[in-house]
Formats: sequence, structure tokens, C-alpha cells
Amino acid sequence: MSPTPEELEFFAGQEELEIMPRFDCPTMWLISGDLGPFKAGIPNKVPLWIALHLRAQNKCKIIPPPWLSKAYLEQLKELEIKSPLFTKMPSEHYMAMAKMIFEVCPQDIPDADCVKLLIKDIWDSRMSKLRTAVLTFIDKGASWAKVDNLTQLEMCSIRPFFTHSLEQLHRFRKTIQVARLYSAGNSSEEVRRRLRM
Amino acid sequence: MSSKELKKSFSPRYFALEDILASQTRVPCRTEVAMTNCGFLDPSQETKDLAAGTQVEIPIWAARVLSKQKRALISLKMPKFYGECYGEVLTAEPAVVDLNKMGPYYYQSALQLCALPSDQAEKIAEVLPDILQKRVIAMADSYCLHRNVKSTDEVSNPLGNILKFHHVDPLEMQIFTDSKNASEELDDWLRF
Repeated sequence: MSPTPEELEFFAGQEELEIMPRFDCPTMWLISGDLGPFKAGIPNKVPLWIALHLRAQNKCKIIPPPWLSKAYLEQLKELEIKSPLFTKMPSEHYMAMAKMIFEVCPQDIPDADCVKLLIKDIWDSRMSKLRTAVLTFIDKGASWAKVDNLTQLEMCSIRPFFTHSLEQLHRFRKTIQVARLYSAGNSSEEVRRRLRM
Repeated sequence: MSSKELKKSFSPRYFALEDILASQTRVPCRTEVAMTNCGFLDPSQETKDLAAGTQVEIPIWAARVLSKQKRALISLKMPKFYGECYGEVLTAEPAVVDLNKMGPYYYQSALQLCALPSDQAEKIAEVLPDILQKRVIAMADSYCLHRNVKSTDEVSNPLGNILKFHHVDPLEMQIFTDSKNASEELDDWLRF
């Protein structure tokens, strides 16, 4: 059906991240791809889940991605607050990645508290825009809308409410058609036949 | 109804419990022909037979069968709660109306009523989406509030200020609880 936050966290783990390994290791051939040869002190790109796994065992140091810094996020927050639409996020899974990195190694990120606060602010501003958009959509009874730059996790938050209420509204609107056919004197077999067409 | 069933029940399903219960709503009708041995349908009457022209209240599932066009044994009227004056109240201010008072399954019964051959069926059907729309908007803000944070209005009313908890039809309740659960799940996951 629809992905839960845990599943989205799993997908986010596949994003690439730079690490500084503290150990030496030749190439590892894994099913989903190869992990290039590790040499202590030379930065290397690996998927997020591997990076966090190694970090938890203290075998590497995480180099935060360029967007996870105070300056960049401040700029992004300005843009987000000013614009009535959604701005493009640095990564599809910015929230999930930030959460996972903060869980394992907040000390690797400079100004960790500021960064956390900035991400929260960006998240809140996007969520409030999303909520007003959903309300306007239901209010106007619109049938479609185009929205750019929404991430999966934000969509997760409105999902059961939005889809269920729209489904039920659609079901009621369909019943108007049914009622019209019935009151015109058609029998139920006729109605069923006509609706199937 | 679990949320999966809510998704699937696009049209009334024969075995869905909610549909069966909703079709229990009584419809006032008038018998057109005399029906022998049907006196039990009208509990106030003592006679064994029903004369033509008596007013009885029978459930929707029975009315549906008895009012088939080819051999209309009864003529139907819409129940009181779906009539004119209630319809006006509902179009004016849907969010404050107590839908539970109007029968245990307001929306589902209304959907079934629309399938009966009657002139007012269309009017009822047209009003329904607007009622649901306005009430859904009224509950839209409150489902995502965190469970520990409650405004003073909400202490006894998790649905926010306008839409009262006890006034809510089971269909809306299902939408509300599903969204609340999903939103709490997300909040729990987001703690960092």
C-alpha cells in the first residue's frame, strides 16, 4: 500500500555519503554494488546505511554532505519561507537522512544544534504549506493539482486523511448519478449495466 | 472497518457489516395493495392482513425488494432525517449537526436510500458530498495534533472546536482514526 516512515527510512539509507575510513580493506563485492577499496585517511563514497554501520563501530568518520551545514540550511530556510510554492530540497530524503545521521553521530556535524533547529523549521514551514494546500483542494472540490518538489515523507503525513476523504467524496458524487438513474424509473439491473459502461 | 476495507468499499457490498446495519434504517411507506398475512409488519395493528393504504415503516432492504417497479407493492417516502427541513440545516451549517442523532449510520443509509425509486433520492444524493466535504475540513486540523498537547477546548473533544466527538458518523470516525494513527506513527518516528 503506502510506505510507512520506517520503509522510507530504509530507502533513504541508499543515498550516497562520504566517509573517512580508519581501516584498510580491499574491494568488497556486495549484491547491491561494490564497496571500493578502503584506505585509512582517504575519503570514500558509500551508501548511508553502510556509513552509519561503520560509524557505530567507530571504524570511520562521517563527512557531512554539503547541504547539511548551517549556512546552506539558513539560505534554504529563507527561500522556503519566502516562496508560496515548495522549493527544491537538496535531497529526496533530506529529513530521513538528517534523522539517521543525528541518531548515530551528531558530533560529526558542526553546529549540530543549529542545524537540527534549521531542519525542523524548514520541515514545519513545508508541512504548514502542505496542509493549507490540502484544505484548499478539498474545499474547492478540485479534481487534480500539480505540486513540485514534495518529498516522500511529507506525502506520508497527509496520506490516509487526504486519500480516504477524497475517496469517500468521490463515492458520494458517484451516488448522485446512481440516484438520478433510479429516480428516472430504471430497474436495478439497468442501472448496474449503465454504470458499468 | 479497517482502513483497507474503507478503501475497497466503493460501492455498497453485500456482506459488509456496516452496509447490513445501515440498511436496517426504517423507511415510511404506504401499501398499495392488500397483503395477506403481512400484519406483523405493522406492530400497532392487531389484524393478520394489511389493508391497502396503510402506513408502515419497514427497513430499507425490505423496501427495496417490495418497491420494484414491475409490481410495486408499496410506495415510498424518505425517512424524516433526510427530508426537507433537515436538508436545509445540513446545507447551511454541516459541521455542527449531530449526525449520530439522525440514525447510527447516516452516510451509509443515505447511499442505500438513493438506490430506491423515489423522487427525493436525487435531492438527498446531491446534498451528501457537500456535507462530507465541510465536515472533513472541520476535522482536518485536529488529526495531526500531538496526543499530549491539547487546547482547552480539546480536553474532552479530540476533534477540535467545531466538530464534536459524539456528533461524528462512523465513516468520518474511521477517516479520523486512520489519519490520527498514521500521523502519530510519523511523529514517533520523527523524534530526534
